[in-house]
Amino acid sequence: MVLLTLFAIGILLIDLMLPREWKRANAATALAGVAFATGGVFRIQQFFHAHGLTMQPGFMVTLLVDRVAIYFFYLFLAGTAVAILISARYLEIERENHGEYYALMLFSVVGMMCMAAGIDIVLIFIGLELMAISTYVLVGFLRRDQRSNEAALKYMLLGAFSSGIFAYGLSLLYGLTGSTNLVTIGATLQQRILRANGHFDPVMIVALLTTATGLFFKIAAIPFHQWAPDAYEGAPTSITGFMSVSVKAAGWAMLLRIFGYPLFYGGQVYRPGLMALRPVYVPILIFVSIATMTGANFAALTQNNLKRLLAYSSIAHVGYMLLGLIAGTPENLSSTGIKGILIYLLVYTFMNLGAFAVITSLRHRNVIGDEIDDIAGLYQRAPTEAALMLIFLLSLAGIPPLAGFYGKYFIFFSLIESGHYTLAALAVVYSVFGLYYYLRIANAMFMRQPLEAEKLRMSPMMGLALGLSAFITVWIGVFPDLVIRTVNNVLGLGPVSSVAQLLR
Amino acid sequence: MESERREPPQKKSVLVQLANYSQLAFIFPVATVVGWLIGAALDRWLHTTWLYLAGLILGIIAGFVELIRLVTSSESKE
Repeated sequence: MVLLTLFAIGILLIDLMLPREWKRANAATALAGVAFATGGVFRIQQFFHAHGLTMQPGFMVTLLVDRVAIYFFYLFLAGTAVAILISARYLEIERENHGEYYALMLFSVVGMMCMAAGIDIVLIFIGLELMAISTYVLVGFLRRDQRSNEAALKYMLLGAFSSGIFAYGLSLLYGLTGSTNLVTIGATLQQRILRANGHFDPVMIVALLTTATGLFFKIAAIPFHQWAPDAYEGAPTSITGFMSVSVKAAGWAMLLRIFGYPLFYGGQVYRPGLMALRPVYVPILIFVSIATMTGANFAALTQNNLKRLLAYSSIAHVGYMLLGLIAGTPENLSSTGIKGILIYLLVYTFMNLGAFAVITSLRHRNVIGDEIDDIAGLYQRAPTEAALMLIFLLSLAGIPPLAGFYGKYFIFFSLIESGHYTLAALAVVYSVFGLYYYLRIANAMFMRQPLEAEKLRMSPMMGLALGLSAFITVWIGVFPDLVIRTVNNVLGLGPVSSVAQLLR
Repeated sequence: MESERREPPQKKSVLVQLANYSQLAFIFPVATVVGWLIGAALDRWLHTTWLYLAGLILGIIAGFVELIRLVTSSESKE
């Protein structure tokens, strides 16, 4: 985090001295920052391994770096690196190639890390705001574009509103428990419920509802999604990609911390955050996930703007991921469900950023390139990009043997394991809707004639971003065992000896 | 937002659209299950052990083809 902050400040200083034609160096500095930060996370991981640690509190016990937090750190850094690669040429075309862009990206990653590793609600909230404020500015980064300004304003107003509700929920939790530490909050809530013979205090329910509302706003779950399609459409395309993966993953990291997954430390099990309220929040999650899958999939069917279509698809994916939190018993979260969410977030990062990379490459002089008509006949103008886009789309739809399949597989499997058959069937049906609107894009790329004959030129950085995303999407799809083993290890699920066991 | 206004006007009624889209939900799963059932039935009748897999794959392919046909026909109407 310190390294990223230093690099972000460094970019701001160096940018002042760079002539216009050297502005691309900012992207290289930002990439170096991400690389050094990744090295730092790797050192932490090695330290854990060498000392047999599973978690380490720090910063006056406001941070808790555990394996899940480290997993999220890698996820944020990977998403940011690909987003930086996509941005360099795009910003030149938009004539907005300023150092602040990359500095803000790095600042937002620092916020994300605080959200993922925070165990104190004050630090989590500060991390959230650091990330959100940086993102508001990034959404409105195209100063001359009215759509971008409008999107930033809408995003900021709705974001501030949701942060207010979230802060209110957190203040109620502090009022109920007298602590800002999530582990103490969890233990105190559990004691209060036990003392009341399993009855839930109405204030607890209000605290849960307001906190959950804030969290649902941040991950754009229906009915709190209104900001997402507008913000995604108006934002610079590279930032839309960044928001749809890294910012969303950070929202998920925070959601998992607050809704709670058990922490194992010193032979004891801690149930932090709102885990004690699981019997109350599971029905809410069921309602929200069904509403999210239904609303987003139906809305996506009729969209003609690619960014808007992918925005609704991204909301639909949130609906599927929420199912992973529902799986399990009324008291305990299913380990397969949380495994599904972690794998989903990983594969989603690459397949969605890949799709946004292709859309970003459609932008050239005088063509915004975000309508379905703009992608028509892409196969004739840029066959490689069309083929890669098809891979990303099929992976987003969850077709094997691509990475997207495994995210959906574990989540649906966790539902079946815990007896939620109806939800599993609904999720499968909605996946077919997803396949339909992704095939609409594929149909336009391969079956329609292009509206302009000019061949698309791919910059080396864009080529690297696309190649990397496509490689990981296919590689995880064909050889999923490494990722599954890694996630098992992150969750402390123990070693497995066969592929059949891995898929359980 | 401006984009809301840019969406094409909807010519069909909501119910017709709903009926059109609801078939999407069934095409793929039904084709897959029917393919698998036919394969499994053939397995029982012919005392084989692999036809269920062939039926399943055929069902998936049939579902896919039908879905692609639907996409292309609806796009050409637009």
